[in-house]
Amino acid sequence: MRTAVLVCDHLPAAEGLCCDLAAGLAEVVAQVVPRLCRQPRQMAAPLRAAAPQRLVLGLCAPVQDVAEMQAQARAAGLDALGVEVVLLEGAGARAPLLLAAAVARARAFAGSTPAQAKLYLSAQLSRRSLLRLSLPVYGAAPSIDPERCAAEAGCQACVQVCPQGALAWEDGRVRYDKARCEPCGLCVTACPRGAITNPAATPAQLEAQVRTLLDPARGTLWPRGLVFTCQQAPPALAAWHPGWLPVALPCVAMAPPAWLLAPLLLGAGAVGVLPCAEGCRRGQEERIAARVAYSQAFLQALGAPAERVSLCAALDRPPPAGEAPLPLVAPFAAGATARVLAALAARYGAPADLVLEHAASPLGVIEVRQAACTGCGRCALSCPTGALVFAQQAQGVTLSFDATLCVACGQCLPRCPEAGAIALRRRTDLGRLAQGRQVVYREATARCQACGAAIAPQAMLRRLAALLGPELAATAALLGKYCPDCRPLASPAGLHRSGEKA
Amino acid sequence: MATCEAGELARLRQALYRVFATALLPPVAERLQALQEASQAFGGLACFAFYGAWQRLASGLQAPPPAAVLAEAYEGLFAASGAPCPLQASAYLAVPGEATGRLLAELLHRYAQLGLAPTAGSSADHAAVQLEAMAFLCQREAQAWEERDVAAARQALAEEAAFLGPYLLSWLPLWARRVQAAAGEGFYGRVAAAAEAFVIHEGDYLQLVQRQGAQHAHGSARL
Repeated sequence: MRTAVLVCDHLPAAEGLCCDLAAGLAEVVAQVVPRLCRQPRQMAAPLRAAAPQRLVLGLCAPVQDVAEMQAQARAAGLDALGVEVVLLEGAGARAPLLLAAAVARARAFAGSTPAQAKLYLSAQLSRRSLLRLSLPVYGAAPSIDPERCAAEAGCQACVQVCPQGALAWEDGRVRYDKARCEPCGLCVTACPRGAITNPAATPAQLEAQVRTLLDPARGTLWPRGLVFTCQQAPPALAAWHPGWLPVALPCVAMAPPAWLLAPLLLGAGAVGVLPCAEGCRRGQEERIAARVAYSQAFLQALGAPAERVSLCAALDRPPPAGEAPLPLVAPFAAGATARVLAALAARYGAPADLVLEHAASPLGVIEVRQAACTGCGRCALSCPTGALVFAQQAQGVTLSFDATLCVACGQCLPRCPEAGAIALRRRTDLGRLAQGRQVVYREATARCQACGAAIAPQAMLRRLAALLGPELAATAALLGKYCPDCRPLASPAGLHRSGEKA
Repeated sequence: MATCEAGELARLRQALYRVFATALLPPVAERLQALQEASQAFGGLACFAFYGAWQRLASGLQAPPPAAVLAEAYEGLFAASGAPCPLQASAYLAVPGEATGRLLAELLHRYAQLGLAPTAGSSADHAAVQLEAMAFLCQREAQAWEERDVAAARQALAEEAAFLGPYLLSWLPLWARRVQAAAGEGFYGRVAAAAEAFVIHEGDYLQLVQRQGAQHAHGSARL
């Protein structure tokens, strides 16, 4: 994929950087552009000449005129939301690696839809022209794939995490208010089905970037550590040890524990999380701290150094040495958590029955209380990942649970009509992960005495009888003996004739 | 940072609505000629997110297929009995029948309020008619800005938002996806992609300007 890398001439050794990059990466056209940070118009000629499919800008300062930069990209036939901007001020020896990772990230960009462009516009009244509008600037906004969304089954996982109230559940659909959204990515990683996509922050882009940053064949800068930072708060790289490499996210709060731990399997010596210096603007400090705390607790439980993942790591010191990368498929994808944790456990030789209870555990274990469950199956119907599966067989009903699929979203809990029938333990249980799917509830089905058809689970009929009470015991008995089709035949006069109230 | 005047923007939006309305009418030679000229007349659109889709349409208009070929495609996609992508909003309603009558009555009432009426033989819910109505509203907005009448401009913006949301945004993206599935990168696939991108952008723009207007009403320095 033909990729243009334009580097601002104010950067030290910009020319050498371009030569190295073009020599080291296939289909890359790298060029130094005068005053690129201040005058995005300077992009026009190199883009016309290169006719690239992807664009990376290596800058010494944030783009001053983003609207112009995006317009230039569009005029060159590019999707402006796919342009990668890398701030290289203070990057020093890291610059080639950061640019190569940006190229990988840009190439993993899969395009955006019209609905995924979020418009930013400022309008000001003036005496001369009455109303002047700034030229529009666009950011990437999430979109929901209705085919994958589980809202119809009641899932509200994204709604529950949105800090801006931009998502609302109505009648089995999630309504998205783009104007209210300040894209942070929390919904993207909270969605149990991976149905929400931010085109500029996909798992595929993150994986491409991280793999390049940690590629043993690239560069001599070792050991390496990754630091997740917020896109809106560019880090002061000059103050960091060159072994620390930044990975910008829309908000670090979107990074689930699997994202913090996966780089350790890909060759990173440590992973830091660096929220905005003045505090998380979305008020997610607790979530960020809890996820880091879980990652540390998990590492500790494995017998690994907990400080391999840390909040505001000591970035002025070199990161610890990492271990050889493991062949891990799609470690940042939705649903990869169990695989990442199991791979880490295997690496550190953790006991097979290790259990870690933690409030921020990204995996959960559902416990079903046989005495309270009536086997209605509503929990399974609402489970967005298929961790809970309800099955009706000849002998009865079963509820099975696969711990590798449970993301502790808790969507099943409010659907259960019986108090205390199911509970979610926020627990990483290696034994349960290894077991795979297990039957956690089994109940015989009552059969019609007339035709043999299934009526309902015995437990449900017992619950019904308890609700009806002794006064309506005969009704309860009738319901348990005959299916709806045979009931009128068995009691031709109808239920009301028995002297009971309907 | 570069800026533009709201009145100029309203004129540009008006022209774009008219282009899309024209593109969704049966393709006769003079309409194609007008579209071809229009596609070359627009400058500065690269600052908008819909530029990519617009540019693909404009490049297709540089050498459009013969009118007869387009007429056949138009008939097959939009007009023939059982066509996969009818141009009437009512075809995309969840509950056709009764709801269709209500939609048509609502639209006719709206048009009448604006002093408009669909030309004979045009359905009130046809995409081209709805796009023309939006062009008319944009023209009123532009005129208000030019006459320095902030209240009238605000009123026009509110009317644009009130029309676009329920009557175009509610179905045009769905229509566009059907057309793109059926016509791919052909002429009408490009028309649909560009119209979808433009209309979605319009929804975002109007929502944002309305919101900023509300902030202004509460004492902010912005409109």
